[in-house]
This record gives sequence, structure tokens and C-alpha cells, in this order.
Amino acid sequence: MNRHLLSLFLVRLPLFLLPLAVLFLFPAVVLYRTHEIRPMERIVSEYQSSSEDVLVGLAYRNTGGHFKQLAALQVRPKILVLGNSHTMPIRKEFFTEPQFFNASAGNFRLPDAGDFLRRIPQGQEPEMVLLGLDAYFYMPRWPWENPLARDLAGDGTSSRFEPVTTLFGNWTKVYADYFSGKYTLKTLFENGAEKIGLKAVIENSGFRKDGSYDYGQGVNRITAEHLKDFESGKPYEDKEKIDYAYVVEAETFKQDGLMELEAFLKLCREKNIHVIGFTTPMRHVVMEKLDAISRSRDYLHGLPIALSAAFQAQGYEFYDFSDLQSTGATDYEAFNDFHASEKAYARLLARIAQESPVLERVMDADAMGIRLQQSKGPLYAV
Amino acid sequence: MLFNSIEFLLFFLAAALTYFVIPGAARGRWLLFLSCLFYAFWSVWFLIWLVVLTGLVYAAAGKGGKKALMFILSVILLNLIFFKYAPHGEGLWSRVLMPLGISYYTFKMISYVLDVYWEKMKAQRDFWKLALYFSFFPQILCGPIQRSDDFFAEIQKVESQPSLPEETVTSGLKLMLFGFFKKLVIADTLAIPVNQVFGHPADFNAAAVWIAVYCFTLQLFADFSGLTDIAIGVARVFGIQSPPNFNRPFYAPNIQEFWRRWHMTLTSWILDYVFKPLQMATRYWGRMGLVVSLCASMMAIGIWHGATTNFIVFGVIQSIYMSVSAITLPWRNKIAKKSVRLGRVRSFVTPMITFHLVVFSFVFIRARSAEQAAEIFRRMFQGDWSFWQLGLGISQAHLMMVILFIVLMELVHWTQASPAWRGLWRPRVVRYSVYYAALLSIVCFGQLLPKDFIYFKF
Repeated sequence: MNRHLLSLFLVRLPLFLLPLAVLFLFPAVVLYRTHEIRPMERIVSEYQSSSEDVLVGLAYRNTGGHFKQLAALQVRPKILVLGNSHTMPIRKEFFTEPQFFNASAGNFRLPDAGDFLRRIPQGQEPEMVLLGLDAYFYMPRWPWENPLARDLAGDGTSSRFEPVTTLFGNWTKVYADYFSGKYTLKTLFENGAEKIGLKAVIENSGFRKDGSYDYGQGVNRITAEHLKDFESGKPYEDKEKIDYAYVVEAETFKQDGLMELEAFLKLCREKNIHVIGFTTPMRHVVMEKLDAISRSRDYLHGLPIALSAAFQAQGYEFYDFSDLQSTGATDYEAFNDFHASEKAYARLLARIAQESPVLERVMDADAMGIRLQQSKGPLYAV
Repeated sequence: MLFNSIEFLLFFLAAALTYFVIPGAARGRWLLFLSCLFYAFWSVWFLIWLVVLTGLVYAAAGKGGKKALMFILSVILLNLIFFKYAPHGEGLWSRVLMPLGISYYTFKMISYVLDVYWEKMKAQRDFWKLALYFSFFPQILCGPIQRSDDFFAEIQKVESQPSLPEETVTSGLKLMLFGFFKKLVIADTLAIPVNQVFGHPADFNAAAVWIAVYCFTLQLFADFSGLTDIAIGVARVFGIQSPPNFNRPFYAPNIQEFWRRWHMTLTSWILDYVFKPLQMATRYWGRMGLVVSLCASMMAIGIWHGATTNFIVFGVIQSIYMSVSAITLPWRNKIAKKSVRLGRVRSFVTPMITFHLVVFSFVFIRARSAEQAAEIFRRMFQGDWSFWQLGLGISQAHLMMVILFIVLMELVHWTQASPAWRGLWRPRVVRYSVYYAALLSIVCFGQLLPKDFIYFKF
């Protein structure tokens, strides 16, 4: 028996590492109190099983595809929304069907739509999918890397060491956020079970139980910045903005993107799921600017024709709402140039329901009209 | 499980603790059990397949003469070709994965079989020792490719020692720390701009592409040498000394010397089992024989990495480098000897030239295909040179910090290699400060979510 080596590993090495371990103590407490360190399965289970409206706003982990997939499997929605951050405002209150879930995730790519449905067991698929399609999904250089596949660890379960990697990967950010005054210890210890994640605790922002996103107090900061830019005419001049930069560079449709869409629609047909697709709105001023650039104009006006053909081939519906104005909303009813507000989406869906008997069956148009009239401010409908 | 994963750290801890309590005579068998456990974590079926292959090698090596040799070499090579190179088409075959460490255990099997045939050593009588040699878990992922006689001697040594020297174990832990530093702090950070640019070269200007090309060479070195340090360090904790794989390759004055310092165990394997036999066979061809042997050796290195066009081109480029260098070296040495000043300038300039030649050729290792490599080179000479909006995915400050870490890494390499500088490490306060600094760097700047090692794919 090598006692000296056992002593090295069991006594001296831990003592050597103790000062470093102390460094992790504070972040571990913060992450534990805000539930950030819990395995995703447990977060989703609490999120869905609670009778209260739990908000999930994780600051140090990705609440993307994995989170939404697990939640959708629990909810078993009849109406499912798929898309990226642009479609996150769509809420269950817009529909009369209670089994609704908005599975939109910030890093959604078109290949994720098919993967998402394939991971739903047979017999539990939704009856209807509302598919938000960004104009740049079909651009030649759009990065097709599949974030959902990256989120899920092989068999769809979280790694058992996820809490440890969360701590190791974020401990410096926890200190940085604390010392920059983003939160206090008092806020953390006053937190109840209805808020999961530091963003939910501090800003009241996060995913609601129906999967839609509440910007919470953060919306004031976001919209103030963008409103200032918008009113000064800055956004569409600012070529640094990723969304705008991609669309401006578009010239031709990427066949891979159209083929990916066709494959997804075919999959839905096989699973007997009805699909309503729509282009996600951008501010009218942005559309005007892009219309002035001939290659962008050709791309943005030609795209809906190509998409419509793909939907019609499977007997599905497609609506072009690239211009926010076409929803009946003003440019103020947006969080920024490319993120239409909840109110704008309520208008968008109401317009679709006027033409779609399928959607009309699950929406109460009169109630929606009253809701829109009574809503305060340009952003929220509920 | 990858070395940079929590699963591996827990496995290593449990393995080491149990290893220290078992009697010396049982250490070899316990290492075999641990190696099988490690491999089974990846795939039980491939573990069974490895056992079958080991059985065939055990049965055939040293018996039956040339026919048995040809048979067993064919089995080993067909195994490699099927899993690594053959296109698997569609359906069931498209889902055939590559066995863990196939390139590395294949080389070990071939070297063992040939060494026995050439009577450099006797065939191993203990099946379990042979099985341990092929499956030894610190070396199965990415080498180093240790020779069988050397390895069996190490096993004999650990089994005969009543207790393992603490210095060996602590030196292993230090090497592991250094390896993790290189991998997590340097390699995985450099991977960010490299992946961005090589993923979509058309989206970046010339400055960004040049930076990414140089970053890749440094990333590859930090990644692979980091991995090797961890592998050697882990083996050392168990009392097994492994051969080194890197010796400051970027200071090599010519391409031959570079390959003597980069992935040294692969180069020495190619030298003994490809180059020397070919040289022997072509010894009457003069310089042509040398060129043929060099080209075949470098093509073997290129194809060992993969059978796609980019690796083939890599092999061709290295063949040209080696052939031209080997043929012109005597003449260059003669010129350099004529002037002391020229000799001094040469000793400064030649490593830089060699480094840039290597950087150029390594683009073909990173690119997905020869066409993509060509696109990278095109982008290097097109577009603007603005350094303000590179879009590399990390800030310039972060990149500068990584460069500082690279300088520190080289400082450590230098002090390790130079006897005059080794005294620097004697004071405990210096040693402990460096250990804490390395650990802090890892936890503060390291990319702590597991990413594959580049050479894991081979």
C-alpha cells in the first residue's frame, strides 16, 4: 500500500486546492438560490407542474432548444409555435385552445423544426404548428449549424454534471454581475419559487409557462435604446446589426433552405399536423429602406412567392407579414427593427384568422379585438 | 470520456486511489481492468472487437513465418481501412462509428508484429500484457505511440516496485496541469476565431483570415501537446514512463528537424516501419530512392490523418518540402559554413522560414477539403486589411492575452529543456506560485465545457 501517495491524493491535494474551492463558494450559493444550477429536467418539471405562473429566466445557461423540447414533451400541446426570438411573444391568451405551447428559442434554425417534431413520441404530436420564418433563412451564407442538436446530449437528457459545468463556466460572470450592481444578496434571498434563474429574479424577464417570453423590466431598457435609434433614423443605417446585415447581403435563395422547408412540411404531412407559416415582421421603415436596394427588394419580394409555393404543395397555408404595417400595427409596436411586439403578433394572428378557417376555429376574433382595444401601450396585448 | 471532462477526472481519481492500495504484482492486471473499463465506457462492442483483434495478434505474432505475418498485417490494416477510410454508403452501414483509438492501437499492433518478426524482441507470452499494451487507457485516445518492448519493461518495473516513487506521481500531476492549461486556456480559446473563419471564410476580410491561419497552427500545437502532456502525466501517476511527443518544434531550423520534434512517436514509427524498409529496397536508386522513400513516408503521414483531398494535398506538400530540403541541405550547410555571420543569420532565419512553411501546410489539416483550403488562400490575398472589425468571436484584448499565455507556455518548455534554467523551479514558492497561476488561469480563462481534442478524431 502506497500510504504516502494516498496521503498525497486524499489530504495534500485537497488542501492545496482549498483556496481555489473557496473562490467558488459565493457563485455556488448565488446559482443555488436562483435555481440556475439545477438540472434542466428539474427546472422544466417545476416550471410546468406549478399551479402558479412560474417564470424561467436563466442568466447563465441557454434556455434554448433543450429547455423548450423538455417543456413541450410535458405540455403535449395541440398548438405549437416554432421559430426564433422573433416569434417568442405569441401567447396562449390569443387562442381558445388551452393546450398551447410556444417552443420558439433564440437560436432556432430551420433544421431544428424537423428535429423538434421527430423527438415528440408518436401520438403526442401537435395538431397545428405556427411556423415563423425569417427572411434570412434562405440566404446563401446563412449558418446552418444546428443549435438544438448541440443543446441535447445524445439521448436528450442533460449531462449529470451540468450543475458543475454551469458553476465552472460562469463563476466569473457571477462575481462580475454582483460587483457591477446587477443584483444584491437581499434580492436573492427574498426570491420565491415562482422565479427560476437570475434574469427572472432581477428583471422579471423569462419564459412564461406557455413558452412565450416576458421581457419584464428589461423591456424598458431595450425599447428605450431602440426607440431612440428608430426615431433618429439610426437603425437601418447601422450595418453592424446582425439581422440587418444578413438581409442586406441577400441576393438569391439558398436552395438548401427551401429544401429544408419542404422536408419539414412533408414530415408534418406524414404526421398529420397542419402548418400555418408566416414571415416574421420587420419595421416598415426598414422594409422601405431595403426596398430601395434592388437586390434586397428582389429577394424580399420574391421570397414569399417561393415559400407560398412550398406550403401550397402540401396543402398548407402561408402568409407574408414581412412588413409590420401589413399586420395593422405601427412601427412603435415593436421591441426593435426585427422583433415585433406581442400586440403586433396579436394583430398578425387576427388577420390570419380572417382568412384561415383552421385558425379561426381556435381563436375568438371578437375577444381578440376587445383585448387589442383595451390594451395599454404599444407592446402588450394581455 | 474525454480527458477534459468531469467523468474522466472522477475515473482518474478512483483509478489512482485503487491503484495505490493494490499489491505491486497485481498492478499490471489492474491497469488492464481500468483500461477495459475506460474503453467500455465508449463502447462495449468495440472493446470486444479489440479483444478479438488482440487475440489474433497474440496467436499469429512470431508463429508461422511470413504467411502468418502477411495474414495478421492484412487483418489489422483491413480493420483500419474499413472503419476509418471506407465510405459507408447509406442505411445501416452509414451509422458505423470509428472504434476509439483505432489509429493508435493499429500502429502499436503493426510495430509489435513486425518487431517480433524481425526478431528485435520475443513474442509476449502473457496475453494480458499484450492486451494492456494495445488498450492502455492514457495512450489509447491520442498516443504517444510507445514501442512494445519499452512498455513491457515499464510494466515489469511497476510490478516489481514495492512502492511507487512520489516524485514520479507528482511530476505526472504537474504535467497533467500543464496539459490542461494548454488545452483549456490556449487551444480552446484559439479555436473560437479559427472555427469562425474556417467555417465561413467568405465572411471575413484578409486580416481575419491571416490571423485565423496562424491561430490554427498554435491551436493545433497547444491542443495536441496539451493532450500528450495529460496522457504522459496520467501514465506517470501510475508509474509508467511514456516517450515524449514534442520538443519545441517551432524552433526547428529545417523541415526534417521539424518532424523530428513534432508528433515524435508517429515520425519515429514511420521512420522505422515505412522509411527505412523503403530506403533499403531502393538503396541502389541513389537520390531517387531517397525521394521515393521520403514521399511515401510523408504521404503515409498525410493519409493517416484522413483520406480526404485536403490530407492528401497535405501529404504531397510535406513530401515536396522534405525532398527539396533533404536534397539541398548539404549544399546549404556548405554555403553557411563559409561565413560566421551568414551562419548566425541562418540560425535565426531558418526556423522562421520553417515555421511559415508549416503554417501554410497546416491549412490543409484544418480545411474540410482541398477546395476549402484553396478558398482560404484566396481570401488571404483578397479583401481589405482592416483590423477594426474582424468579427473573430473574441475581442482583441482576449487574443492578446492568449498570446501572452503562449509566451508563458514557451517559457515553461524552454526551462524544461534547458538544464541551466531548471534551477529556476527549485524554490517551492516559485513552483507553487506557478501551479496556482496555472489553476487560476484555467478556472478564469479556460473554456471549461468539454470540446474534442483535434487529434482525437484521428
